[in-house]
Amino acid sequence: MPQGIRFKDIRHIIHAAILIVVVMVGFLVARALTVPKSFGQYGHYRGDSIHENQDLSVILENPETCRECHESELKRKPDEPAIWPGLDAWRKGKHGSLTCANCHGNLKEHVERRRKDPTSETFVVTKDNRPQLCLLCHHAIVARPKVLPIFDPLREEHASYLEVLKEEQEEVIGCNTCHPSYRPHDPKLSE
Amino acid sequence: MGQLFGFVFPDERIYWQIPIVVYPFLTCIATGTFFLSTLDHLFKNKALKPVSNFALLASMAFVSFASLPLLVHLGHPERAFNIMFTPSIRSAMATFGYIYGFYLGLVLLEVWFVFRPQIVEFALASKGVKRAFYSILTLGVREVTPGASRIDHGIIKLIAFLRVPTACVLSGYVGLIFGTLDAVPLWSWRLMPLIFLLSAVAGGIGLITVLYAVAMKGKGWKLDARCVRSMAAYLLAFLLLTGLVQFINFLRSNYGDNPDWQFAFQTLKSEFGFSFIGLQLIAGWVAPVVLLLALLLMKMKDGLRSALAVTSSILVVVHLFTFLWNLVIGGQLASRTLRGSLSFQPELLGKEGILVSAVIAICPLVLLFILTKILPPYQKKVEAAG
Amino acid sequence: MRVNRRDFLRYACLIVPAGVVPLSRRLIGATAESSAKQKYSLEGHKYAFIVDSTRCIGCGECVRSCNMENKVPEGFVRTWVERYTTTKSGKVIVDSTYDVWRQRKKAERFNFEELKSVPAADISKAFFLPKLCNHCANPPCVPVCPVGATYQSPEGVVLTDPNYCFGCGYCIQACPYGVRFKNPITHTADKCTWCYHRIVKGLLPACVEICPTGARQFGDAAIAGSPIAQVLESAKLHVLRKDFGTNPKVYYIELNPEVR
Repeated sequence: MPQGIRFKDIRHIIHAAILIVVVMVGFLVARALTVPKSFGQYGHYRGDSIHENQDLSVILENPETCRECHESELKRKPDEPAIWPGLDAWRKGKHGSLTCANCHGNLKEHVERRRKDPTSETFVVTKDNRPQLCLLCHHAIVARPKVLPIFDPLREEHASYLEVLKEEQEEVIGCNTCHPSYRPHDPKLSE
Repeated sequence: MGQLFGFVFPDERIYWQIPIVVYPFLTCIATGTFFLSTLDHLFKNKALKPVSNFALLASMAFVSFASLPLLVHLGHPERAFNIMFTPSIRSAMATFGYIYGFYLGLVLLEVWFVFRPQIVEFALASKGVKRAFYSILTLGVREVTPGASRIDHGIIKLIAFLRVPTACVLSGYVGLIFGTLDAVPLWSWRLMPLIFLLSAVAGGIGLITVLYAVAMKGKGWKLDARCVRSMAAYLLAFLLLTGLVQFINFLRSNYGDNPDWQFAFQTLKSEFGFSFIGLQLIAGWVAPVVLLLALLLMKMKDGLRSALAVTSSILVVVHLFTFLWNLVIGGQLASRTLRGSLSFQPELLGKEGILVSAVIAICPLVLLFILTKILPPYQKKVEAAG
Repeated sequence: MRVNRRDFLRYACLIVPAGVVPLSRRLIGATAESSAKQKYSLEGHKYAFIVDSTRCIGCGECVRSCNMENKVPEGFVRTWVERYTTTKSGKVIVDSTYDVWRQRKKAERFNFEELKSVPAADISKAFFLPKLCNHCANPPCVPVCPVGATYQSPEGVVLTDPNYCFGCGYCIQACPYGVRFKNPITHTADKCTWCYHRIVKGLLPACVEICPTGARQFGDAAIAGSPIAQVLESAKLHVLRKDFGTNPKVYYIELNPEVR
């Protein structure tokens, strides 16, 4: 190197360096503006996400809610009909391990309506009485434990249901005409 | 969703589709093409001088588009910068984001320093819009003093020196994105980066050979015989190395006690038999190795030698693409149940379809064409010829 | 399939009410009363999920209730039930509640189909097996996320952040259990959360709530003496794909080797 480095020789490098610094500062500014405040609160994620996940609404009502009104007949006003006639039988019966929604569907709408206005006309929970509901558990399919009472299509009384099942008809007498859902083990019916 | 065989988990799909094949393909080409310019800039391999600057521009064109297929694939491309803003240290993909950014910066810097004399020359010689454009590119310094030229030369060397490890890490990290996933048996190997690196260099040299031939044909010039021969030698070397490492991977998996891998490999062979055995192994590897050996060892006319070199180069690019195709999509065919497989039916239109990916794959070539117009890499050649 | 005495006793316990099942159903409820009044604390929980596959009757209620509770988009599930059927010649046939959906029949129901390919006389063994996210203590899906959009909550529940995820699908590839999917509506990764929004309110996950036989049980093992803590201490438990070293927190009572 015969002579030292002159300013003229490195001017373009300084300009390039300024450009690089501008880009990097821009990146840091963009980062500071974009990264959510709660990021890193509990770990390498948005802390608010935990609360967003917690705050999702509950859809499936739990039996505790049902018990608020349907626990016993004591809460019943004198002029009202018994609101859960089968309660005791259901609990002691073979369907006692089921939850309300298994047969009644989700009751969120019913609960919300009654909570808003308890005097409102009683919302009748629509039961899905079609045999398909019962057959979810009681249809004979491979791997289903035989100790469950299995629907026997060969029984004379069941003959009409077979037609129903084949054609997926909507209107049909439910299984509970003969097998009451709350007392499926009723000795009268097993005869 | 494709057809199913046997039992697969209900949510299993081929989630990574053609864009995720194109993305490592472009990245590999970008790191592979760098290799040629490095050999010239760093190691003074004179034989490669004719393609070195061209390779540099190609590297820039490909690296510029390498992240586009990823963006197309993302469910929320508008959040893409999250990967830079809140990178997760243990995620290979997050690290890739930073290395990609660094590499892109290095390539842009190197291009700028290498082509600065030309940029300044154009800025001074041209008029109007063209002048303004080149003036912006000069960053306001419209002269190249002898001292600056000497310093720039040193800087180019420094950047080329930095670019070697960066490029290795870049293509390696693409491999690591796959290699760290134990849940996918065909991907799970911590040395996957090595396969990617070697395949990338082979594919990059291959593509440059082809593009160089096309460019020379376009200009009506003859191919530089010494340069073609030199590239063919490198191509063969890296092809053999790729084959060796792939073979080691096959050995350690095939003779290991790994039912997951066995099942996945069987699925790959039965579903992707043609693209795996036919294209990747025979047409993409065996054929070019034979051709390259022939053109390097046998005496022949320059024209024939160049034709063979270009043919084998095309096959090597096919090898790189089918390797990635069979790895990325073939790796997802086998179900985690080991009792069934998904089948891949690519869609033509749609975000992750063939058309979009094809357009993305062509984009770098278009950019390269534009770049060669803006910054002619054969300038010196013209002077030498004239 | 002959019913031996052991089998009978096992199922007697699910048929006889007020057995283990209603007890476990109240297990969270009991803590709910106390914790609902105070603010829910992220600390001091050790949730665990126990699947007693011997009790599963394959009704598919869990899948239906999960899809309703979590608004799971059509075509995907966060939990499902598999059926393993072994023939006398040793062949294993697997299908799931999901297969019916796949064939576009009775889309809302998630029933099992008749197993037509095997005559009943050829079957030597058959059982159902519920599957869901294992909420691994060492989850492979969390560290791969490039942006920190999937994480383990302080209680150890693996969650996703649909407002930060950019939908690269890396976590989906990393899961050895195939429980993650890309939600086609939000375009982000989606998975079972153990109904995190329910458990922080003292409720049970929807699938546990609805299960008519108690095949799915959930609870906080940090509460000493809670049924789940007792099961964790006493029962012989198994996890799926132990070879991956993921340390799942979904435990299986009885797990056949053909299950993957």
